[in-house]
Amino acid sequence: MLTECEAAFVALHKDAYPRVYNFVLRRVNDEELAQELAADVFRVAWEKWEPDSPPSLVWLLSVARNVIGNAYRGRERQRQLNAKLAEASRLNAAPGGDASPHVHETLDTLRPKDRDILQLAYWDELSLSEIAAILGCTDAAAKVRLHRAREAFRRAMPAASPQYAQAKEA
Amino acid sequence: MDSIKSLVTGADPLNDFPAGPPDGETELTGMLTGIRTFSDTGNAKVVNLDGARKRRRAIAAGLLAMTAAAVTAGIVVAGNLRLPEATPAGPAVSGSPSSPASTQEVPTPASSTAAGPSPAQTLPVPTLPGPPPVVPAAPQATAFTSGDGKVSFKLPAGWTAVEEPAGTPSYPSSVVRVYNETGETMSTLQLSQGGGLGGACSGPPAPFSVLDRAAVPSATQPWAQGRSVEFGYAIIDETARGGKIHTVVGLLDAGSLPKGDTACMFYAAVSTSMGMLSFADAVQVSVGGTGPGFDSVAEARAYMQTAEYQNLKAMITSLELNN
Repeated sequence: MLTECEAAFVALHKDAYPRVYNFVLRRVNDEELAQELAADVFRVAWEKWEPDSPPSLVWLLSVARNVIGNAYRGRERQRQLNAKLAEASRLNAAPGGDASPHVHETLDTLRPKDRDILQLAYWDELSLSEIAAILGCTDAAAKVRLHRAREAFRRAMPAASPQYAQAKEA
Repeated sequence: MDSIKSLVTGADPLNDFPAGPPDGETELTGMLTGIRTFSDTGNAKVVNLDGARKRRRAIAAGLLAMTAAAVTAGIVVAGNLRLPEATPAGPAVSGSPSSPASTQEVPTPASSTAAGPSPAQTLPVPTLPGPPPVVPAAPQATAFTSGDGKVSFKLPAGWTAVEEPAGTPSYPSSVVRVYNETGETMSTLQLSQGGGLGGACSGPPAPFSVLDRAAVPSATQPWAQGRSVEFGYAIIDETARGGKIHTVVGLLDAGSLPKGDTACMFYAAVSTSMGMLSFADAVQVSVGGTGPGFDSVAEARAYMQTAEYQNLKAMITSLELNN
């Protein structure tokens, strides 16, 4: 017989695990490691569980950021991961027209905080409020940061990309 | 159509993993029942659901056993209180007729052969299931050595140590920050040939005490010889005036700690031939501190039973300096 806390934790795990796993997988590009780190996130959630205020998805994603940060704390390891992401994208790109390799290279040239907010907004499809909660800033600040990140992306997108002109014009 | 959003979304790495995420419920079941090796293995603070149930059952069983023992003991004590009136000759076999209690504590061989009940024989010896034993820190520590080779210690499993740039060519310094599995800073090592300690009391003294102390094996090394270096867990208790208990876990200089039982400030730092050394979660502890603290001494003492504390102690006492 599960206690109320245990039942709530099981329900949270069932609902939020796919989002947390995808969040981690996008950033480590390794299914086994993503499983391990996602399990770490829920371990922390169980450890910090407060019956009156069970963790939200945003809280879980914030923990996931820290867990990934621990796994890739070194700048060199982070750089290698970005290179690995770009390489995987290049290998998987369909011949002709897929802009993914260019996009990854462009993301790689951005400042980490710009890359971060673009990924939170467009990969994880989080709202500005959720992004603000994860980044620990106000909604308005998140909006400004996203705007600046978009500008930085627009400037950094290589001219060689077929989508370059489209992005410049948008 | 937002082309930037479209471009970034199109480069989502998930596109390379068409299988999709594992089912959350299946994954949880597998995590709790399967044999898996995750980085959280051995974290004594985390109890899985099954473990939590077992612990609750053990506590319930313990309480039942204690209740049964208390009831039995009550009956026996009541019986003993009546014993001198009912069977005056009984206690005499132990040679202490005036003290029924002594017959419980010092049963004589004669009492076992004497007629009538003997309280010493009827006392039950309850075997109470104690609280779950404290699991010691996982013995999977890894050795950490700083880039310049001056500093080395055993890093608990799952923890990370990061060197930070510090010092100048004239005044070289080493700063190593230690993080736990969730990225929280656990302790910071600072070894500096420049700078010094300063500060002033920000309030009246409060009770000061050292809850735990241990010799540092490396005290036999040249850097520590002649100095009263030790590992310590020291506190300043401001609970009597509505404050917190401020703590420090780290290397202490026993010779420079407050001499009395009150203090308004002290340092977790040691002077060595290689410079000022601090390996603790705080360099200075003082009254009026605003950081997190404990609400009672009992809480502060209970912290010593955690795996985190054991890990800290093992790590700090393993410090070696190489000049």
